[in-house]
Amino acid sequence: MTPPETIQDVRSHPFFKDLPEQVVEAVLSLAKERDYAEGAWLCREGDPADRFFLILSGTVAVELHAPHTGKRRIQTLGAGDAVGWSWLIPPHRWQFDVFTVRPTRVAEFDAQELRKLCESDHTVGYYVTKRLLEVVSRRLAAARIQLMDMYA
Amino acid sequence: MAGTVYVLPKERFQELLDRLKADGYQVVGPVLRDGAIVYDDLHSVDQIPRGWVDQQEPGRYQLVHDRSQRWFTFTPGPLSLKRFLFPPSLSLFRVRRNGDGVQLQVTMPEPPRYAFVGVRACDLAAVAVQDRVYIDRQGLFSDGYYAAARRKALFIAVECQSYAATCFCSSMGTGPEVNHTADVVLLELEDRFVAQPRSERGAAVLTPLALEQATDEELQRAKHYVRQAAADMERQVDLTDIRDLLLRNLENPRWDQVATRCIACANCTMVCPTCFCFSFQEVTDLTGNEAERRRVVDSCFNPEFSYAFGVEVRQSVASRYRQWLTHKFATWYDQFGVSGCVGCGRCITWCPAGIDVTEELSAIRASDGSRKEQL
Amino acid sequence: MGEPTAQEAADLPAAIMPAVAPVLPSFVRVLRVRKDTHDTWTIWLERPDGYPDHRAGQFNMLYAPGVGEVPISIASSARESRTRIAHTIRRVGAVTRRLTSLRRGETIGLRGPYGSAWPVAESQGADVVVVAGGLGLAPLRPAIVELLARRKRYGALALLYGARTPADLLYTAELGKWRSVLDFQLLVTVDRADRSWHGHIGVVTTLIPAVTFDPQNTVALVCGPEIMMRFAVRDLLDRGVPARRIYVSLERNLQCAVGFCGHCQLGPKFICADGPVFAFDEIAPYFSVREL
Repeated sequence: MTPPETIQDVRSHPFFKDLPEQVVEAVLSLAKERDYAEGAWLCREGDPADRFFLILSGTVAVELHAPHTGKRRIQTLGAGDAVGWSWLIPPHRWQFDVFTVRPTRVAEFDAQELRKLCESDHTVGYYVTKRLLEVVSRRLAAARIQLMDMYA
Repeated sequence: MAGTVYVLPKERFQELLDRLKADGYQVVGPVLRDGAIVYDDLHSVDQIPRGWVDQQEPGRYQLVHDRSQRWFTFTPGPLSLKRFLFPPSLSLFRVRRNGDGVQLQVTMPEPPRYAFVGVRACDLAAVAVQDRVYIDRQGLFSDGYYAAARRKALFIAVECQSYAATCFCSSMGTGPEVNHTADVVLLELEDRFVAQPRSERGAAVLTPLALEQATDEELQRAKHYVRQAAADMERQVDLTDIRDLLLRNLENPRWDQVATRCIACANCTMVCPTCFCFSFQEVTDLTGNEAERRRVVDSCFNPEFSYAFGVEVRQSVASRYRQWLTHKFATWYDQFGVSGCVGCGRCITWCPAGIDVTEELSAIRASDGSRKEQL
Repeated sequence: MGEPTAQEAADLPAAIMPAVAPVLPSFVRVLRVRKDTHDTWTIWLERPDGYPDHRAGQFNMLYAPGVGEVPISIASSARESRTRIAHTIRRVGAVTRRLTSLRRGETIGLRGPYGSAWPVAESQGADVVVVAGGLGLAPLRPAIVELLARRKRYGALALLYGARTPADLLYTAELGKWRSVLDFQLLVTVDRADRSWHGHIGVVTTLIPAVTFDPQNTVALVCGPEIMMRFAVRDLLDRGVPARRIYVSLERNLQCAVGFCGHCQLGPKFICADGPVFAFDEIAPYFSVREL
């Protein structure tokens, strides 16, 4: 059982901002708070995307590994960010490595449970999908700006 | 001063020129050179292109002689007063390396004391615009050369009684009647001019000539020709809401259309009597020990005119034409409180592609609000 | 406002002379040179006689005889020193190549200060969020120095600073010092880095949600590449910061620095004289028009 003050922490995560109360409640009922030490994997490229994370504190890095460049750190994410959308979209497989670079506290969701919730209650599914799309859109915009190499 | 109006018989015009010379003025007026009427040193009335008429059309300028006895039947040619008051190339200072230090010597010349004779309403309106650009900017830069030249200059205007097909001063409110700047205004009749002093300096020039007073009939008859010219002038610009019209049409497809004709040659900015943009130029001698800094005329049609972060801002010709036209007719009001256009029509005549600002403005107005749909 | 008559123009005060004064540089000595990154240097110049206390955000024209003149923002605060002025210069062209090759004791031309300033004193009582990208930190540095010098007069203070790589970060020693200032949120991010970098990676705008401030009572100071400013302004507006309280510093080539030569026009604005610092609402209609 997650202590009430933690639920409060998760509830105030930007991911839930302005969502209908019943949607927030339904999603929150699946949240498990968890602490990760520095250097822990959240996602590994190619593995089944079995979880979804909302970062409450700490920092994680998104990396891609390529033979010629080695490990390339693409982005860091912190408190207020959501991690992972591969869990929602088939084939449910992580596309990047994500690991903690500092001790990190997250609200963690089991992907299967969350998917089941979204499928059985399309209202929840719609809001979660839409919110996740916002995350993807913002992340894509940031990646495109990065691509501009604007400081060059 | 207003009120007293004199008669200057044509046979005494030379006396006026001599008087100005004796007073220490460098007299500049319209003369015929290389197939065009330009402003240049004027020593003798014989230099005035009497009886010549200019035929001006988009992209075309031609002089023909008519048999009338009129002296000022022509309208302004390619040159305005800009080249005298704001020279296209001006030395500012020199720097000489001197051990670890440098020695600086100001080289900007003292401007001559000009008397501009036979200048027209549009050119004088342009001087009034330039005053705002170069002198009247509160707390900002004032151009020392211009201000000095301007302070010393004397303007003896002639009011136009004819117009070229490219003229549109009447719709700009700048002519053909002279409302700005002049020290003396001349109105031509068959064998004489009616001379109106407009300043103390102008009166001081006329007084020694001991001219007779003009009758009201003479003044009214001369004025009639000017008013007739104003009424007959066909080319017009509709100034209604023009600033906002242009600024809300920055994405109008018309800019791309005009850009298919515009070759970005910068002629329009060179002949425009109010275009003021310049660059600094660094001229070094062979040893590299001495450098001269010059101010030279520039144009917003040059691709490298504007850049940010090392990249040209206005890469397309459409954007450069837009910059020019919206500066003249829109943002000029924000910057200087007046239009940047005086309706002289030079940009129309001297555009090798015959692009006509008045037509472009009408086209924008006709397509107000349209946005280009293609890249 | 009436048209000036010839007589009025003739009676203009003699203050307009000497004719070339507005474009005449003073020649001053280089007091110190520091290499900041592989392409960026900071040079300290002696302050010319009669040079007024500049305000944070203003710029000087630096003149290398025989090469040319460029606008360089002032990287120091008049609070720090009244005898020397710092300029952080990136080597990108002929003039900056010369300026960044100067040695201590050499002489260089300077005129200024020019332009508008960051509203540092005017923002007392408000939260201040500073967003800097790349070399954009240089003109913001004096504002930060002044904000921190009177820390108590402001609400929340934050600096979000983005650069290309960790090696491109400016003022690293000072960033270290600022990091230890209590009650100052300093977030630094880079576009790319290897694993030896433990800080943020990502565009600087992604840091905006991570700082605490009261949008309605916030003044934002933004300087960096145009794209970064566009997105930063958008994100700040989304957070609820009013457009009139978001300030940006714009860049265009400018030559005279006194609102006259025409090169730096953006719509009705002369960036050199009306700017370079603008409240966003002043320039919003022109800011995103292409090729304007």
